[in-house]
Amino acid sequence: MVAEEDAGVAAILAREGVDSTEGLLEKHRQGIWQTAFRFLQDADDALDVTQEVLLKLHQSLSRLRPDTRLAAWLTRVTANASLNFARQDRTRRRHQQAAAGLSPLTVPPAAAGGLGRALAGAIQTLPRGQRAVVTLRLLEGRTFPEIAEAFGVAESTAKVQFARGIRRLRDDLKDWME
Amino acid sequence: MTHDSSRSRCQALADLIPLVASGDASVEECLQVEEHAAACPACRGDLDADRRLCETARRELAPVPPPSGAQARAAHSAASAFRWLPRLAAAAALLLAGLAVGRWTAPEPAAPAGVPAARPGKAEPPAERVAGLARGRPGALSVFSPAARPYLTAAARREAPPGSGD
Repeated sequence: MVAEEDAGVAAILAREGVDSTEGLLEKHRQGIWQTAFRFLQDADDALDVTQEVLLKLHQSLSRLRPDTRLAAWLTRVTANASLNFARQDRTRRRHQQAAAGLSPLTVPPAAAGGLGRALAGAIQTLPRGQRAVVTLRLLEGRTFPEIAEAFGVAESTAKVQFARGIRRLRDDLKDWME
Repeated sequence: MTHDSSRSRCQALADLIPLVASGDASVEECLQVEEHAAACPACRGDLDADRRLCETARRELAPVPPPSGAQARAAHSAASAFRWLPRLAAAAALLLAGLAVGRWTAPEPAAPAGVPAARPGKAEPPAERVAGLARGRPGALSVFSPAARPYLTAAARREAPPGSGD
């Protein structure tokens, strides 16, 4: 079992063009951080997610199949880690607001400062699947085949998720675009 | 075109409009949407809004700021830290092996009356660490460590069913 695992790791390292696990982590570190940032729009939060994903990669490497496409695996793991982080953060903020006697407010367009900022907030309220596809397609520039491979879904499914996400954003932000 | 057929045409193209706006639709799909939008103000408005959203997202939310010096150092150390994990594990194994050898060669304390003495010249390693060898518990010596092999026999004997003998 140990020899098989070592052979699997060696195959992955060879395909990635690195000669050590450390080299593999270093190779993907920045890309993971960028993906996490685009999900979370916060540099420090992205750093937390990066550390989590690197640890998961280090722990999982010996269990991955030798023919694993690491880019797709990392996309899925980073997206899920970012979304989970965002959900925990929302819960924490909700508790903080409740403790302070505040209620979630709908920020009027005039006060919030720009469609971009409103869009960033609206993306965070999308359902998980729509948020993942919209973020990866529009902010990361991933293609639908790449997104479909990362999440193990059909390309048509990914496109429907994207379309539904954009339609929802359009509805949420219609006051901003009049 | 009747109102119902126009509305059904709007519904049929509703999921295509965002894909046209983002540049992900085929040429044929783009022509279908543009042709319909030319005659439907509502869908024209949706297409224009989606284009604006996609452009805003790509222009304002896609760019990644350069990390600050502190963030870059922290991110680099996060990747580099894992370099030390195998070395820490090996150091921990050596330390435990050294402790075990130390116990093995330490002079046997005098056994209280009624307690069977240990085999002369050998101090038994702690039972839990030896049992941990067989079960691969964290913190135990690796079963593949040369320093651990002599203990496997003791663990097996200790866990053997009563009366099974060696």
